Amino acid sequence: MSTNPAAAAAKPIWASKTIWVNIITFICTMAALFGFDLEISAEEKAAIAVSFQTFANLILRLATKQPVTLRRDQTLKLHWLSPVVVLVLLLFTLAGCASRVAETPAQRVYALQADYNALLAAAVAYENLPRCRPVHAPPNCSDTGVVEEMRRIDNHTFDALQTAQRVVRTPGIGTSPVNAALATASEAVGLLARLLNREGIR
Amino acid sequence: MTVQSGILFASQVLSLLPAVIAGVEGAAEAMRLGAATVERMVSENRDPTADEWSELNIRTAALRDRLHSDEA
Repeated sequence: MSTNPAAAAAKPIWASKTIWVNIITFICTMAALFGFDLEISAEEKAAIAVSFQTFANLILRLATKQPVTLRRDQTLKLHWLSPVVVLVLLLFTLAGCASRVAETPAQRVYALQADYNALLAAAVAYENLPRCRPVHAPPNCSDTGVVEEMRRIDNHTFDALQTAQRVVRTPGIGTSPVNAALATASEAVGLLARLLNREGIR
Repeated sequence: MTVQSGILFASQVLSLLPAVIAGVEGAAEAMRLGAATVERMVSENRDPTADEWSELNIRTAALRDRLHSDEA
């Protein structure tokens, strides 16, 4: 068997987000040629690519004979969260999340909060699992550290959304504070989504 | 994949199903509600009403209560 360190460290083709983005771009181009305009933005392509990348990693990890981590709780956490995050991201990107259709600032804040609720539902399902313990960990347990981080980021995201909601519901407020509040809220929701994604694929 | 690893894979998938279904159902329901409401707003060319904001805030508060339920 080869022991070349470069070969061993090389990332397999299905683990590359770039490859997935290119495949999705190719599919969109071909669809457009046949008269189907999928109207997928660069950000959405990246999100779909992460979904496929995560899914490929999950299947490979579940199929492998070797455990991914030595700690049982980490392995179980990865098993639980990955399918949820993959499916949520797929639903977000393929079924159409609320923020994709919003037009006005108030609609966009409303849509962001609706998307945030969807992420919260996944976080709640994870939090509801029994906590992992060093020994005799129950199957499908939740990591205390991850739950605490979810809660901390949730507090930040909720505050940002509340501020944005106050701003867009204030009559006659200028464009600048609206744009600033929208950007902060959008970034905060993205932070929560990235946390779920990171824990799902770790 | 050997028979043993195949059985292990199947058992892992089965043990995950209840949690996966619970998480995905909740998320899908939240997304469906949000997308439908925003689509209606866009088609009616209007911003969210006070009632719509209120309903959304109630759903958010309920989810946050559950996420932070046993927080110290």
